[in-house]
Amino acid sequence: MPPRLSLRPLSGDYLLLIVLALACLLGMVYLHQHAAPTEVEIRARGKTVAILPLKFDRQIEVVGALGVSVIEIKNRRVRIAQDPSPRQLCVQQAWLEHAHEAALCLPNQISIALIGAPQNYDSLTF
Amino acid sequence: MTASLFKAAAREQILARLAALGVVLSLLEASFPMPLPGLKLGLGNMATLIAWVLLDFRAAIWVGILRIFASALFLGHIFTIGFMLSLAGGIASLALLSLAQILPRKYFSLYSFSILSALAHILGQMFCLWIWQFPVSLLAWMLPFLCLFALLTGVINAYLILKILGTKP
Repeated sequence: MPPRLSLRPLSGDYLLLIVLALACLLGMVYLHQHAAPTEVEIRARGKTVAILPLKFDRQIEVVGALGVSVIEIKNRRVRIAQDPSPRQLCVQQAWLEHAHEAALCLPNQISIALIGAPQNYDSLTF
Repeated sequence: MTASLFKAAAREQILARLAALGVVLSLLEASFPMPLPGLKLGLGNMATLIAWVLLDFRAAIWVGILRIFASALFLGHIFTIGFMLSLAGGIASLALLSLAQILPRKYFSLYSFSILSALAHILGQMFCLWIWQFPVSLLAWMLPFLCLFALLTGVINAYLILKILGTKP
């Protein structure tokens, strides 16, 4: 049976829209509360090669499909400092500092993404 | 026999025209610059829904799949990642529409189906990216925004379809 045509939305339409919109908004709030980045996830050729804390400044080299990428962590930010990908898109993205930001070097199959640390304990009190 | 033959031909003709409409809308949409790669207006989906309204659900499936392949041929991205995403979105949205058939028509009009279709499209694409090991944190961050946008385009597209079909209020 084809859908009913009515220029004015029906009650079910409003209900569906409101429920779905609320779900989206709740999702946003939830994600923002869990949004402070504490770690960077580095992936190369489909595998997670390292999850490093942003606390400590350091540089690491990761081997991708084309060659070596240099990833730099500094002042709680992270960037891909060098990469052999031809268009250098991920290098030009420069510093990532907000949660869930990511830089992808597709030709070299390397990506970095800022993530929040998994919370293993609700609280630690005695 | 002749009569039924003509009738079938008429149906195929409407179907083909709607698929062509879908292709044109997809091409039109591809020329709009969007701020995020996942954001789409979903204009092509209008043809699918119109096929459902004018013919039946089988026709909607035909138009939905045909327009994805045909517009990919025109855009030159057939069998690339972008095409796979659009195919996944199209299949997901048809699947959800076929599940949504149980919604009582008394309370749920075209708006609901258009919204669900738009939402399933983006969720299908996200699922596809997730399977390809796209960074999960990035997907999770984008998902609520993309879903909200899908709700918006769902409503707008339904309104446009109703206007195109000349529905009286």
